[in-house]
This record gives sequence, C-alpha cells and structure tokens, in this order.
Amino acid sequence: MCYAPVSQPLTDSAIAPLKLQAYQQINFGKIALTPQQQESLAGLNRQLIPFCQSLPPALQTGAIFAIQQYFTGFQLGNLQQFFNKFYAPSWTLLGWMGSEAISAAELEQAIHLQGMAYFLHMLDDHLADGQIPISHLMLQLRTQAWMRFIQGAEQLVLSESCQESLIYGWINRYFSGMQGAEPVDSLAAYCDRFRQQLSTTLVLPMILADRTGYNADDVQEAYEAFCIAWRLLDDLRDCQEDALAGELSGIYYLLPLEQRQAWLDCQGLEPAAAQWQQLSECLEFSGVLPAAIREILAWLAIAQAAAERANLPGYAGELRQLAGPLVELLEMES
Amino acid sequence: MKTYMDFITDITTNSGLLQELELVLPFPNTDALTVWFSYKGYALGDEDAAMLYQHQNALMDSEEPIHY
Repeated sequence: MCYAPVSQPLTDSAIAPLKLQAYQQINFGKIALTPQQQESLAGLNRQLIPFCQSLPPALQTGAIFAIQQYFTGFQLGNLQQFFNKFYAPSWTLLGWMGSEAISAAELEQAIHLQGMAYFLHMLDDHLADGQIPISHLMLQLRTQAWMRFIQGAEQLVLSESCQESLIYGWINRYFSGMQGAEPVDSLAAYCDRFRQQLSTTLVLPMILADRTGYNADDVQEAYEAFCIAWRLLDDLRDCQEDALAGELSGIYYLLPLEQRQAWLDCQGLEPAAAQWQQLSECLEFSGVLPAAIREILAWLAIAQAAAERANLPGYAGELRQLAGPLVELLEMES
Repeated sequence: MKTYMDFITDITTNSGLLQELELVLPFPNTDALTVWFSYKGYALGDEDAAMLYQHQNALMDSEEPIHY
C-alpha cells in the first residue's frame, strides 16, 4: 500500500492566519452512536476490569492502579469509560461488517479483541519509550493482554491455515514498523511507517472481512486511511509537545526543508523558550497548519471512498462526520 | 474482606457507593482513608492506601487528564 499525496502544495498563508491555538484545539466531529453501538461500547468498557481480574491475585489491584496512573488518571469514571476516548471508527468498523456469516457472540468478541489490540498498542508504546517503567506487574499485564488478543483472534479464524495471513502476517508487519528498517525522511514515509505500526489493530477487521466476504483491500484502505488521519490530527494537536520533546511528527515533515531546523532547535526546551516562539510563528505563517488540515481531510476522503467501495455506507457516513469541524476551520482560514 | 479491585468492580453497579465516597472526600490522612474503605468492607494495603490518598483529589475530578 502506497502513500497517496493528495493535499495541495504549501502556499503562502492568508493575510491573517488563524493562531496555532485554534489548530491545537481542533478535533474530529462527534459521531452519534446507534443504540447497538452504545451497547458495544459499554461492552468494550466492561472488559477492562475482568481482564485485570484474570491476572494472578497478587497483581490485580496493582494492575488497576497502573492503568489509572499511566492512562486514565485517577478519576474513577475514566476507568469505567476507558474506550470512550477512542474515536468510534476505530472499532465501529467491525459492527458495520456484521452479517449472517458471523454470530452476534463472535462479533462481540471481535469488538472486545479490537479493544485489547488498542490497549496493547498503547502499552507497547509506553513500555518501549520508557514512560512506563518495566516491572513484573507490567510484564505480566502485557503478556496477559497479548495472550488474550492472539488466542481470541485465533478462535475467530475459521481455518488454521489462514492464521498466517490473517493474524501473524499483520503482527510481523507491526513489528517491522516498530523496528524501523526504512528511514523516515518525508511525510509519505512517515505515513507508510504508521500503516505498519497500526497493523495489530487491523487483525480483527481482516478476520471479519475474511469471514463475511467484504473486500479485504477496501476494508484495509478505509481503516488505514482513517487511522492515518487520526495520527495526523494527533500530531497537529500535540505539535508543541512533540517539538519540545524532539519528536519528528507529521507536522515536522510538512514543514519546508529550510524551516525544519526551527523544529529541531526546540528539543528539550520549555514552552517559554524563544525557539518555540519562533517555531510557532513559522507554523502560523508558513501555511503548514492549513496544509495539515487538508492532509487529514484528504485521508478521510480516501477512507470514505474505500468504505463506499466496500459497501459499508454506515462507516463511510461516520468518516464524513469526522471531517465536519476540519472543513469549517479551513473555511475560516480562507 | 474485599480488595480495591472489588471496589472498582462494585462501583460499576452500585453508584450509591461512589456517592458515599464523594461525600467523605477529602480524607485528612491515609489512616482515615483506610478506615473508611475498611468500614465499607475493602482492605487496602499500605501502598495502595498511600497511592489513593495521594490521588484522592482526582477521584471525582472530571477534568482529570488522560494519557493515551
């Protein structure tokens, strides 16, 4: 799968560009869940505590504390609504793919496993970057989540001979993206790398495509393009944090080559630093911010078109709803 | 005696328990927190109690940030 550059090239910004803050606060449009989707979300949220209870008793309370400490914060409601914070198309795709070829119980299991795939993705990221210190508790939590994900996925694959293509091939792709064989030197390479990195969350959509007969290529394209749009939106919202942390995000790769040094100069500094002020002015006046919005909208359009090709109009409709506030922001900018 | 894990499980079905906790917050010290949980049937280890006491202001704070 290749990167599809569809956004407009960078141009001089408008006379009075919107402030960086307006872009940092932008978000996808909210999707009104159907009653069935609300029930699926409740089921997703309910699985976290039983999952912690599946650990050895000596680790259970520690696991809850760890999830609060490193992810949800200590607000008790956050813990009970863990998956509410994910954009719905990250898991509603599975529900839209429901058909007579798969039982309601299997579909529910697939949605739960998708939640586990996202939990693992977050956990791996923070364990690998050192934000979460390694401990016996965290090792076992990760092991248990991985076992639950793999074993559950294997149960949903009809034939053992398909496990390589529907599960382990994607897992290999995930680790290929994490180990980073190819250097990233452009937004195209950055997006292609991210396609690899999201592969564990593609396992369940691919299993369901196999079970239900939806076109796997179109389902993959719809889901991956949505995820890239999501990633770039996160990059836009977190651009200050990323620049100060020295993270080379999608926003960095949108900067003209001659202005990228301004991003690199911010590493390790505080928001009050002159270098950040310089970079934020550069972001505001170079046209990078509206270019990022156009890029996100382009990926959402790709996702929507693929969903329509796959005969998933409900999913395409959700992707359209995501785009609303971004379109409005661009209209304000112009 | 039940654990903090049980408490987390119980509040998903017993919102009254959460309201009771809200009424007694904030605890003046770790001992008071431990006594309240014990009175409600939940045993907290010393480390667990200290962790909860440290974060007690966040327990009901809808602005508590998440870090996904």
